[in-house]
Amino acid sequence: MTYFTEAFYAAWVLIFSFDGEVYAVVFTSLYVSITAVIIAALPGIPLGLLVVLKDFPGKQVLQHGLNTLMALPTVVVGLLLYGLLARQGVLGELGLLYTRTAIIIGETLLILPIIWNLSIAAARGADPRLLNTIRALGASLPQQMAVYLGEVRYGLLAALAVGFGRAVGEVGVAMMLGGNIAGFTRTMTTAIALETSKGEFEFALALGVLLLATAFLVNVIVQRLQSVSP
Amino acid sequence: MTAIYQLKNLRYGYAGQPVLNIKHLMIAANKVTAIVGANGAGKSTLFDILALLQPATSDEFLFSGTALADARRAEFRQQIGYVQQRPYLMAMSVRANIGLGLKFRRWPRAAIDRAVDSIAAELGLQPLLARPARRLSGGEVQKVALARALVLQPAVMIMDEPFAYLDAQTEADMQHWIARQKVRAERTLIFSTHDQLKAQAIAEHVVGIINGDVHAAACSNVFQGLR
Amino acid sequence: MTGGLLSLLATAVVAGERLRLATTTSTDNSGLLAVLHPPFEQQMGVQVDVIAAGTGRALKLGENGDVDVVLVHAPAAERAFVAAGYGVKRLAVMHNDFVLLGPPADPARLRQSASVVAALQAVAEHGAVFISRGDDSGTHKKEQALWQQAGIVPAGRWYLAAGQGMGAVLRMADDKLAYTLADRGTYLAFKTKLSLQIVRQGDADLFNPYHVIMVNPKKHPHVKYRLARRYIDFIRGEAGQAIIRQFTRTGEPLFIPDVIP
Repeated sequence: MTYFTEAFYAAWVLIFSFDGEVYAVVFTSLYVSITAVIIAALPGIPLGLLVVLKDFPGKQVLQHGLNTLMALPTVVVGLLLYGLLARQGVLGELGLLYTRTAIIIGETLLILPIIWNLSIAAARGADPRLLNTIRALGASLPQQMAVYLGEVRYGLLAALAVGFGRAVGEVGVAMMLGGNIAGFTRTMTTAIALETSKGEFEFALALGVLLLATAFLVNVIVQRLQSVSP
Repeated sequence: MTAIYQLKNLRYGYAGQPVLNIKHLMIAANKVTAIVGANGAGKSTLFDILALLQPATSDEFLFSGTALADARRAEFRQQIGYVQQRPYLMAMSVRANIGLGLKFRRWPRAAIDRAVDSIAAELGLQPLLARPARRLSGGEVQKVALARALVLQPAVMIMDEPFAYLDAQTEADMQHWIARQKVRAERTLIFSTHDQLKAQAIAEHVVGIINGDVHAAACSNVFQGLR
Repeated sequence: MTGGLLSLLATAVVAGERLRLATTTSTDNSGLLAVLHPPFEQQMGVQVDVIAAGTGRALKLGENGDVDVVLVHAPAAERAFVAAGYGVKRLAVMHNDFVLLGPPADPARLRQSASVVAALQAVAEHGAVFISRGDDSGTHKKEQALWQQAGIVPAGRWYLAAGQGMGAVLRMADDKLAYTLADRGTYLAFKTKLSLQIVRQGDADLFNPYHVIMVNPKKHPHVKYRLARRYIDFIRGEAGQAIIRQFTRTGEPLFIPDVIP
């Protein structure tokens, strides 16, 4: 049991030591994850609503594709983008590899299918009378989407929360594309991987506790925002 | 007598099962028509089709004497008001709910408020305007949904089971309102009910719907008749 | 006498047993263990489970008694491990060396430097990008020792602590046109994929000895010390040392045996 008590004690110390390096890691994690969620939500939510509100051929295939992409391994996203962003790659000129931007790009790709798919589920979960009601009132497609945005906002926020969880908790993309550079691209998960490889299991677990605490805090804040909005 | 709807051989199926197969249906303009049928006879489906929300195959579909083209569906739909069975109100105030259709038509805020106030006065809804729509009784919901459709000044009003789930007072109000529409004869009114006697009492024309087809139903009893 | 002792020990080893070996990623990546272990496994009828990790974690596994024997290359950490009583019999097995790598253009002109220490000083002076393993591995520890000798505390925008394995750091240095310290084995394994070149090698300071240490059965009674003993005898013996000597990668030998050169 000392293993766990040591880890939790270490986590406590980590949080309240106000250690600059630890906070830099937490900040980097939050910065890249939240940015990725915002960028993925901008197309993801409207696309999700569109799939529900508009009939088009290939919808079934798209749905299967999205379901499959939800299982996309993070390292595979990392490997694919590595080939594009590396100096010899198509986008190598931009010098994006081993930057925060690279992690954001990777995590955006990773969670776009999730947010898209869960937005579809949220819109499908709306009251079955809603669509005919607003169509009968003459809502155009963009107006229908705007109404859905309000009516199923809890489901959409849940989609964002899942996307955030996936982004903040993944290690493959952050490691491959960010490179785990201290003070720059080191995130909570790559720091955990590093401490594990160093044999600092207690410290690694403490970072894990810190990650969960951070994710918890973000969710509480989102919950607050939900209850404030009408 | 001019027809607002004229349909021939309208067919609609769901999941491979035929729901509607109507050989001929004519609904008179500016009259009150009741569609009578048991639950599951296809009334709601027929109303979705008449409200142009649900496409169906047909040999002829004339709205106000004009053939329905997909491109003009939205334009025709603007002339139709639809109150669904157990209407759905948005999680907004009653005022916002009633003004929603005008907002979709991009009316200015002040004009929307005037129109909402006027229709609320007509239906006795002023005391409810500031209330959240999700906290209304069944009868109040029905009236708000009616106001929400009427504020758009539709040429056709379609009401699916408007008397179901109503308290006695609201039902009397509704019947009174329909009677006034009948006298004015400025608007086509189509409503459905499973109550043959009520239909006969209120409507000028009564159409029966049984097993997905319509019958001149003046005398038939839908509960025991052809089944 | 030795023969009698050996046969006595042999009877104590049960066929089908599994020996758990913790070693460094670089050792495992070199491919040596894949040829070194099968003869031992066949001879003894046992299985060697290799857990490859950074030196820090490998020693930690030994400290916790999760493995029976460790094979690592970080002399200072090894001595501390034995001094703390976690391991017994720290014995030399083989060595290879570290090399300083850099971009072909060599902007800090390390090829002209007088020693590896002078080379690192040149890197710092130039502010040329240097990528450190930053993961407490044997290579990282070696690098830190070298900076110390150079009298430099590496910090700043030019010094990137990657916190990753050797292979990942090599690719990163390659992409960023940076300098880095690597063990020769991993460098040779990745050589064809890299434009990085050796800019400094051969210094005594770059010597990289590997030691095998048995986990102390007094601390962890469950460790298979008899089998561990046989393993140590094998890799330090005639057959094991010959395999190490003959092991090559892209035509170049990777390790030099230290018991029977």
